[in-house]
Amino acid sequence: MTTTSLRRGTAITLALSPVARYVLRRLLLGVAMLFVVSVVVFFFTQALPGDVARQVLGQTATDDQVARLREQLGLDRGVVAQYLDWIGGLVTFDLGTSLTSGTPVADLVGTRVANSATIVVLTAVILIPLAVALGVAAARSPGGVVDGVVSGSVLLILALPEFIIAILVVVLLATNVWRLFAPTSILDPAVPAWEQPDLLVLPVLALVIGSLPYFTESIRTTMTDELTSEHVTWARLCGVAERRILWRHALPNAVGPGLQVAGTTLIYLTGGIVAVENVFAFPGVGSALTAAVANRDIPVVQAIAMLLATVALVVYLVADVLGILLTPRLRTALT
Amino acid sequence: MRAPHPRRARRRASAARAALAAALTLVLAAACGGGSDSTGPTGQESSSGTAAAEGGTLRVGVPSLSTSDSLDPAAATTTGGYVIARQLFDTLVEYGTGGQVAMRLAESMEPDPADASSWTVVLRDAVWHDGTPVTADDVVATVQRWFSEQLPPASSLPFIDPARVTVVDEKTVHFQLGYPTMTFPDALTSPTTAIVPASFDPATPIGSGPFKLGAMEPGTRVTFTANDDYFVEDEPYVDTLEVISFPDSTSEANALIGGQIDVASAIDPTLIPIVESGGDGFDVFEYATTGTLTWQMNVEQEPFDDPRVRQALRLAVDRDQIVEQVYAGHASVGNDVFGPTDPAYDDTLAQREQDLDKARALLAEAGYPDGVDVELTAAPIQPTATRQNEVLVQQAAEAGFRITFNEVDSATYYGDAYGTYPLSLSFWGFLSIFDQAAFTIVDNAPYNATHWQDDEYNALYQQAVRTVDDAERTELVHQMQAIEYDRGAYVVAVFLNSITAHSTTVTGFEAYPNSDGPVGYNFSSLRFDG
Repeated sequence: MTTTSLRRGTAITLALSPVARYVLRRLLLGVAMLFVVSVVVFFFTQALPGDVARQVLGQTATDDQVARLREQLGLDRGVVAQYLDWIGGLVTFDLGTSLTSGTPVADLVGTRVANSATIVVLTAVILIPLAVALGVAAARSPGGVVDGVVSGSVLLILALPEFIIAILVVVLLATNVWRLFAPTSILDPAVPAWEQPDLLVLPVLALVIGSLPYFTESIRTTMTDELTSEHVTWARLCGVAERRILWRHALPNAVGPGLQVAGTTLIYLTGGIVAVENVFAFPGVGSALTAAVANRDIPVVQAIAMLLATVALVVYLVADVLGILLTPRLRTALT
Repeated sequence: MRAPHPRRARRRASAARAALAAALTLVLAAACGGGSDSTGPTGQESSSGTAAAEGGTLRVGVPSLSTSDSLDPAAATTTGGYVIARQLFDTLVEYGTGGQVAMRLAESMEPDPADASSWTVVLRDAVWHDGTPVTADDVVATVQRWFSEQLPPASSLPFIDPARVTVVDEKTVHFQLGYPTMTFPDALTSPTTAIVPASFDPATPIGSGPFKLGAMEPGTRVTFTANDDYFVEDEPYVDTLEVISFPDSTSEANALIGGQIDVASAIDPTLIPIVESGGDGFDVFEYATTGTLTWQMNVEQEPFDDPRVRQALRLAVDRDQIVEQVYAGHASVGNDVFGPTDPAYDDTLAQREQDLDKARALLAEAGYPDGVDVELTAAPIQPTATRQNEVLVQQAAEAGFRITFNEVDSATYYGDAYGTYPLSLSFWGFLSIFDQAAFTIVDNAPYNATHWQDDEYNALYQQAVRTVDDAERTELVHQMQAIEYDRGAYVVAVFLNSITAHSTTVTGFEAYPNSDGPVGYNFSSLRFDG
């Protein structure tokens, strides 16, 4: 770091606390990263083979008509001009217009974003406490029942692709063995997703099952490290009770890494639910992305890709900031 | 063990327990929701119950709706667009339950008895959804609209001259054609040629069809309400029709078994056992169609520029094995010509069987004694397409074709490279023999990915379409099909079955073997029955 930037840094210090300064820096970094992502997304989607005009007009279209539609859609202009148009729209929160349906992208994906957010949040609400409880329990008694089940199921479930879990859940709980729940999530578009909870059970269950082992295993590893660390051993030697060691000495130090794992899991849930959405016919953002790619509805693909990138950046930022605030060692390192 | 701050520790522990409990309650609440209300959020069980023979809400699954589904029939290019067109609008004629042309909005459609250079259409008594009558003016306006530059090309209608379509009286329209043709009715069966009012606005689509548009959620669900003034007596039987999109037919079959839909349309043959495992409450409605996944051999490139190589590939294919392995028996063998329900179809041609010795001999004769490398390009345009291609690769290898299967997605397949692939697979059928030829074979057929041209065939076609006498025309068509059979460029190995799984409470299914889509998307005859 040069002296100039150090000085500038000191100037800001006057107004901002170290944590606020850190958040600000991360935010600026995040925006810069989004710009990079936007360039990658834009030029990558432009490079997809196939043509939306041909998709819209069908295989019976003549070259003349394809050319005319491309002109109407503005696809005949230079790539850079198209990019500038698009990015200009993005910063004013204008996601553009779907090429296939002619409706604003925001209208098209709005409900789907809400639907996906609903099952991701529901999954997180169930997953996080469950994983922490199981991970801590496993770490406290290595070689015990919980530890054994966790280690075993991690291998088993990591070996199963997400959609297989989803199919097993359907076969077991909705169609062939028991018919307890609705096998598909054909949400009524007129009603918010959270008012149709019976249609959310199975996708949430499949997502919880799919992400629980990894999450639990990470918590267990972190906790085991903490419980076998020097300061914990020292505390034990001093006669501090196990329970106090767990809650006062080990857990607080595990919060930072735990948040990182939670963040990773959340991002994975947000972006990686396409397979689960397909099995349950869930009208979410993942299936919208798949359909948009198939139709070459580029503005929709771009909007969803940017949304997922933004969510990922925000989640990591929040996880990092919370981790710093909750971990004394990291908090003090900032000043 | 004795904790120094037992109260504090317990409070934290109980907080964790509370969180767990909350999570479990959420799951249980959701579970109870599903258990007590097994009909799903829309709660239609009462209307679809056994008590009501008429009315109710019929929930039909389709794979799949898309955001590009059009409310304008003339712009329909997707499954959803066709589904919508069939409910809201009527075509003048349709391919009926026998697969042959039947009247729909037209009461009659007659050619000039001499040479079919003009046709006269008389409309039946029908009204638009707003109550005004369907008139000859509307038909003329619709025809002129087809030729608008804003819409996909009316390439199936080269013989119609929009300037010479005239009103005779309120119910009668006269078409003076650009050239005489007997294909006139065939071309007017497509849902894209549905008749719309002269004042048509796609934003608020008004038609004469069995259903009116309710709510449209693009790519997810379309709801229709019954048109009580529909001209077919008693139809539609249900009050409301919901068409619900599924990403594939597996989830569709699951939703059927779970009671979330009443009809799972267009399901994959491999799902029939799954539906049957669902118990007595479900049934399968199945019929043979003219739809076919056909291989296209490009005659502008080696090796298929040589007719012997084309015949060799046709002889390498074991059609019965494809029917068994790919379709589990739910398909029928093809004979390298199209249109099995067409009255002029030649069913006296010997069924082509696999003959590996002859195939190898033909390849050797054509200069490939050690076999030949071929690239097959195809997209998963139907659920069975990939499996059918994989089986071809195996079968043809035995005759000396070393096929590399290059699978691409549908948008790539139909992109700029379409028509340049040496060997490819497309979905065709649901057309008359003449229309199939006009689309994919004769003269400058716009979608002829084989580029096969045959002067004798073209001359026969031009003569046949102008021949009004049925027997004479049939004889000419037989000659056309014999040429295709001997030296054509399509491998028509199988015709697909239409398979619809449904709750046993739903009846009224009818076969439409030459119409695209399950039961030709004619959902107005479906009803709930005790």
